[in-house]
Amino acid sequence: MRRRNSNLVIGLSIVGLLALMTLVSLVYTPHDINEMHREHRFEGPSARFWLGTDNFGRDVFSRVMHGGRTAFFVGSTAVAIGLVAGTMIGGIAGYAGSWIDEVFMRVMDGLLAFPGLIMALMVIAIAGPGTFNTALAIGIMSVPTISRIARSGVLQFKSMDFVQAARTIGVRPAAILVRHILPNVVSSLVIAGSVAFAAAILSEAGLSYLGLGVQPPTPSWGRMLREAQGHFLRSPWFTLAPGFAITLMVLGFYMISNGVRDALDVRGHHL
Amino acid sequence: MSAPRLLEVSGLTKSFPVKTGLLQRTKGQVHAVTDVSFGLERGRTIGIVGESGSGKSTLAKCIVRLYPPTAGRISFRGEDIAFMTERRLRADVRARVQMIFQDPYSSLNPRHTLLSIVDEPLRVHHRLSAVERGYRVDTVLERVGLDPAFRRRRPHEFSGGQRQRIAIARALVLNPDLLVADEPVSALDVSIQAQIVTLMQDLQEELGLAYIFISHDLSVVRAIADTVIVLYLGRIMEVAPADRLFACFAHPYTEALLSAVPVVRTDDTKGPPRIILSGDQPDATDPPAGCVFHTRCPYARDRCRNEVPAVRSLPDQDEGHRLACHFPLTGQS
Repeated sequence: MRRRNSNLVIGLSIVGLLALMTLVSLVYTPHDINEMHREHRFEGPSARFWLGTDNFGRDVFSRVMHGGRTAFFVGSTAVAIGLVAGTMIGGIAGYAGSWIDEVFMRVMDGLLAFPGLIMALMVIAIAGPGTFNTALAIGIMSVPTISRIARSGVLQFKSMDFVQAARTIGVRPAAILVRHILPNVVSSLVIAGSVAFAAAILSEAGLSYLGLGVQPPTPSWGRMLREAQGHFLRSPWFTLAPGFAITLMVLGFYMISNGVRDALDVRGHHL
Repeated sequence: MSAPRLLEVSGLTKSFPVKTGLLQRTKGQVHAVTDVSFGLERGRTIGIVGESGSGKSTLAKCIVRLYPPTAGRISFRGEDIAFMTERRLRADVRARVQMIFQDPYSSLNPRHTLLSIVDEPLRVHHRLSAVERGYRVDTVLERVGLDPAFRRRRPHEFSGGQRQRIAIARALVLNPDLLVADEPVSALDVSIQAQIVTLMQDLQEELGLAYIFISHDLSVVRAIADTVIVLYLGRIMEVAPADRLFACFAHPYTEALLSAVPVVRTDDTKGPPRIILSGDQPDATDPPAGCVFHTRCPYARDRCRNEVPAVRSLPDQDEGHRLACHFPLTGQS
């Protein structure tokens, strides 16, 4: 009998629901996200405005739905950047060894020494704010961690006999890395990727909260929090809705990462 | 001029630097293999025996050039491959020299299917159509006793003996000249060992393969090898044709090794006394002066502690029997 993997099931359900909500927002939102209902500012939940309205009388639920697009876009772009760059750097460093490994990993250590958010601020200071640049900054933030995981996986498999056998057959180093080693490291990378996704959602919220991430008029959960903070006592719904969305999304991805770890029985990659 | 021997190893030495500390300064050298020389003809088998840590695997990995040696020559088909670049090795040597590893559980990629494992050498070295490759794979699978119907299965679905057959099939699919087998049967059940050894003998007869067969199991080596090299602490102690070595060995270390082989006796007679060596193999970072075996040799004298014995043939023996000992044993039965 297989034990039920409740982490994976619940995590996938949460993320699945949020993804569904986001997909629906592409074709339908209860109200136009920028339509201001002047006479209905700071309202609580009602049949007309499910999660109430904000300081301009805009429908909070519609904006939370639309904010999901930003969250998924930034998350997946950042994770894609992190996984591609991290796997390449970690894979090459681990397989090549010697001074190449030294140089690559010391640079990664250097990046890791900066607090992630400071790094992201630097990237945004250079590239300017905006949705894609936010994703780029967050992606770069995740490269050192992912490259370390890729490198340790490569090191683990590099000395195994089937890799030696591939060398005696005459397989080129790049092909050994891609065909023989990386497929065995994928499970660790999937876990690292889902953790990085959760972290990316948080970072995006943080950057947007500071006003440096996603810019108006694109709705983002982090910026909704910023807009709501002055009105918390008057209208708690306006704050709670995006906060709850962020929490759910992050929780969902963390549960997926734990579930994948349990399913694959890969140990020792706690981040 | 006669054709060059298939393999001629001379003065092969491999040491690994021991690095310590923050700056990775070299603190010493592990002398894994020191000054090993031997030759191998087509279709013949050299057995290499020795206890763990005697440098057997390092020697094998130098010959297939998984490691570059520290010094020496490895002449393969008349060409020195000891310091050949990886690119030239791939072009000229890799397809002709193949290796079989001890543990068939780690020598096959768990994510690949039987077909892709055996097919890979063909994809690397030949431009063949998928159909042609599939035909070749099926032929070699049948030859090593595996059902080609299993070609979609992955290594974990096979038993240890079947996996070693897969490894042999992968090594054979390119029709190599030389197969280096590093303890190929040590991880297998005794009944399976015999099957694999028989298979290797049949293949040799059929394809004219040359083997370097490494084992710590003397009876297996005796069954398959034409010539046996006894290695201790990375040095050759004794080399002789197999039947000769087992009958009239002359090196004290060979004597001790052979006395450790269990023998089933059906009568009441007692065999020769078991010679139990005291102590451990010395540290390879700091091998003893003189003869490396003198610390454990029951016959060691002063000369053994000071002077390294050369590998030479015995005065009244044929040239195939050589050993490194100042005081060879005589009068063995």
